[in-house]
Amino acid sequence: MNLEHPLQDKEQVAPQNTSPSIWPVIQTWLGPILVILLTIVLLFPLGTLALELVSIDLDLWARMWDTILPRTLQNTLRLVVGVAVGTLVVGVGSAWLVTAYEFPGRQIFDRLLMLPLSIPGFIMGFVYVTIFEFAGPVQTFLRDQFEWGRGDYWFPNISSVGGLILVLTLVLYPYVYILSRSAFREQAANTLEAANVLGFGEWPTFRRVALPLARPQIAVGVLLVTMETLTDYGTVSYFGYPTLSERIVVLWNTSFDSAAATELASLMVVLALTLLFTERILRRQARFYQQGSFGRRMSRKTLVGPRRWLASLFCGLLLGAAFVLPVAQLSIWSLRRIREPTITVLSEPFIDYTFNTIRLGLIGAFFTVLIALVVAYSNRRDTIETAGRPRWLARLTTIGYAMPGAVIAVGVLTVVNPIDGAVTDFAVERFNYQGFGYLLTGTIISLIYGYTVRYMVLALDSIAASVEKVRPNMEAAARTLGANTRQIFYRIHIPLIRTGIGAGAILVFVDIMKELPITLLLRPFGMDTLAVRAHLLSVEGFHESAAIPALMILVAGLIPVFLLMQIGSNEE
Amino acid sequence: MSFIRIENVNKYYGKTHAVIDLDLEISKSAITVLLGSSGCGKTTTLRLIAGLEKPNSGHIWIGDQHVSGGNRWKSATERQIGMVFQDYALFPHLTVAQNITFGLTKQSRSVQKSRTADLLDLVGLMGMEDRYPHQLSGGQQQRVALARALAPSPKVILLDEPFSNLDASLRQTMREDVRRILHESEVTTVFVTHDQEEALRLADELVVMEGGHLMQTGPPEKVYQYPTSLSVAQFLAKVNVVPGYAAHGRVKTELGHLSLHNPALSGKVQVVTFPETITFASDPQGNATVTETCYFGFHQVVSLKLESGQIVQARTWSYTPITIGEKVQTKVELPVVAFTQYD
Repeated sequence: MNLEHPLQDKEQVAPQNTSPSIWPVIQTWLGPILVILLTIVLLFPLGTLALELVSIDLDLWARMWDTILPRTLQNTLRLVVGVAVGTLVVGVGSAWLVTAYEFPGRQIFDRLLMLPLSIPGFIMGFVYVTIFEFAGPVQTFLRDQFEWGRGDYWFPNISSVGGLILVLTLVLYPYVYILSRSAFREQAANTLEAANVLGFGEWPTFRRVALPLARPQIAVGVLLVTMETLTDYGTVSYFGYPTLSERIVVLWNTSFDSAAATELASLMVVLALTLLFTERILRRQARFYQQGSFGRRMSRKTLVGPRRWLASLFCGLLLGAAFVLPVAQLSIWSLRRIREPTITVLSEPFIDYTFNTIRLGLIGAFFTVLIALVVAYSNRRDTIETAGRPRWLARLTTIGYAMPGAVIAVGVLTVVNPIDGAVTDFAVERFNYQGFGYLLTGTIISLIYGYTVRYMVLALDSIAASVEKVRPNMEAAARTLGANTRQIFYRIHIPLIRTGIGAGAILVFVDIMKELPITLLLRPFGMDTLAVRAHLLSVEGFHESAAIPALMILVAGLIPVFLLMQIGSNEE
Repeated sequence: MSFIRIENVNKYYGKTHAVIDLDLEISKSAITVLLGSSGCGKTTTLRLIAGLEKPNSGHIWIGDQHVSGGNRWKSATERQIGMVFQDYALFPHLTVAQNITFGLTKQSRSVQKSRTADLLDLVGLMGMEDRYPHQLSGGQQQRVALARALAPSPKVILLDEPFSNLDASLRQTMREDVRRILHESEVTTVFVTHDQEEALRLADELVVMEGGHLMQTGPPEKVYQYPTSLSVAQFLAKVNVVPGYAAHGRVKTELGHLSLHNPALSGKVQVVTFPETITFASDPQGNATVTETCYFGFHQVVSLKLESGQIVQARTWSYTPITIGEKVQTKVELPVVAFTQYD
């Protein structure tokens, strides 16, 4: 081809510096390095605990084995199994009803059965105990009605393992419900029709086709329930039912046996990691199972006769027990408490608790979202150079979600205590410091640190998803259209990641609002949140006073559930 | 007259040498198609022209502007180039009209409005201005991407495999539409594709690349009929390659004593024959046997086994009666292209 240039302004071709400069290397590695640093900071508390197991204190374990350990483990196992079975039956059953059948109210139940997700277990717990205990309205009514006395009748004891399992099942079944419902929905009509053609009836089709196909997602749901049960502190502590998670708080906070608490916490870390790992594997499997997602959805079978009312009744009872009853009861108590403000011993400064809660929620959400943004952008795979970046790196920062709050709190304290000690020593030596305060322990800083470790996953999941919406070619297109870096940020990035940031912030905010064990262990002295107040008041039996903060938490908790419903309806 | 000039450009991604010593001139107001298989460096070349990638060495001129090389560097933002991407890269949060006016921020509202109307008319999307990208079909999104790129009246427009995500029949219509729109706009166009048919159909000037190297440039019919290398010939068409011995402007092969297109050639060569240039007639003393026919409706491709066992393919009118196992005598109508064979 002709290589002569028709243009006159031909310049001398200057020899170019082609030796590799250090800058592109830094640019390529800056992101991963940032992510690794943040991961270290976020995993430090848990890592410290895991390391405790290396320098295992056998005497301590032997002592615990002779005292609390067998019963605690037995309790934990019994609770986990009970709740897993309960949520499995209730969650899968209701999910199958609303996806496979048409009956009165189905459309409403389809959405509303998610609502109990908004209720923290400890609130459901104290509502149920207060309603169904001996002095509660139900038993009082029965006694008045039939003129029974104590011991004249049998009534199930709500303050028992059975009651606890019931309460946690009502709170946690939505996990199984949501996941198995979406699994059933994805099943193509063809698959189920094939079973029908082969002569399978309704029940065999469910048992031998639909259920096995949905198994991976159901398993993920049950696993999430198991994690939540293991990490629960508020409910078990209200029921006075010692589990691993509850013991850690008690050992640390009441018995001041930090050594034993730390050992138990390190055991929990290993346990939680195992569950988390299992969940990852199950999710990966779930992807392979979803092969029938194309094609027609299965058509719902319209129920006739008494069966349709039975279906409505089942869903209605479930929704009533898991949502309507607690909300109604809390509303009644709150109204009563507002109308007779002087009747209780404590005059509650709810404004302060609300303010504390909102402040902690906002600060926690801010930092969590900020770190999530840095991680999401640092690990972005937007150029050929960064295409090979591993996804698991960013995922590492989210392990905290599988950990009980108590474990994270203990972890944060084991990290923060030595720093405080050193700083205080230094201050005493150099400045003749006389005070009692520490730099980090018992301050908002360690509290926020704990929240960030625990709730990172909520912010990162929604933000990373929205950052991925900004495809590299969109930026390239904007640049060819004359937009500079600043304009690309304002005109492309901000509008596209705004909702992701918002959703992440709301999720973190609401979960901080509901949070108990981290707050209890790490809060500055005298700083009460709505959740702490609701918990303490309910433990002490002031259920009417507890109802107001509980209801506020519940209402806030509805926001993310509505967000979830929105996502669900967009998928349809 | 050339409008874009690329001189001795090299581009590395880590250890991968994506574009090697590239010299290329791109004509004004014409469609130049960069053709090659994936990883041949064609998309990198396009991104180098756009200013989305910086070459490791070499110079690029666009119009009378020296945009890259030495200490000169103009980024994509400053180059005033329109680009259409394989995945369209429409802004999902903006409507069709807002996507089109994205690059027109400096113009007044009324200018933006009339320009949008003109472009929607040009690409045939009138009345769609308030839709969002996700409400459009693939072909419609493609048209919006083209309108958006044309909106600021760029002197150069770059298209990176724009039709690869469309189904076959839509691709056909889009190809004709885009060719018409680009010629009407008289814009200098660089079009990247891996589809030979598309390249031949669209190109005023065809550029074939392979392994980061430029292999051949020229008008499509020239490149097709007179490839300058065996790999270009094999990439552009399903050619038959038979060994031969060249001397005095002719070449001896199993297909006969053929006249050479490059008569200077001599010695052992590889001869390229197109299926459509091979004819044959029934002949019991012929040099080949029919082994298979493939019927395409408007033509058929017949496999002929030569005495050496090599199979060549001939394309014929579909109404020619053919019997499998029949002996035939082949004939090659036109001078053939051949390349020296190095053992």
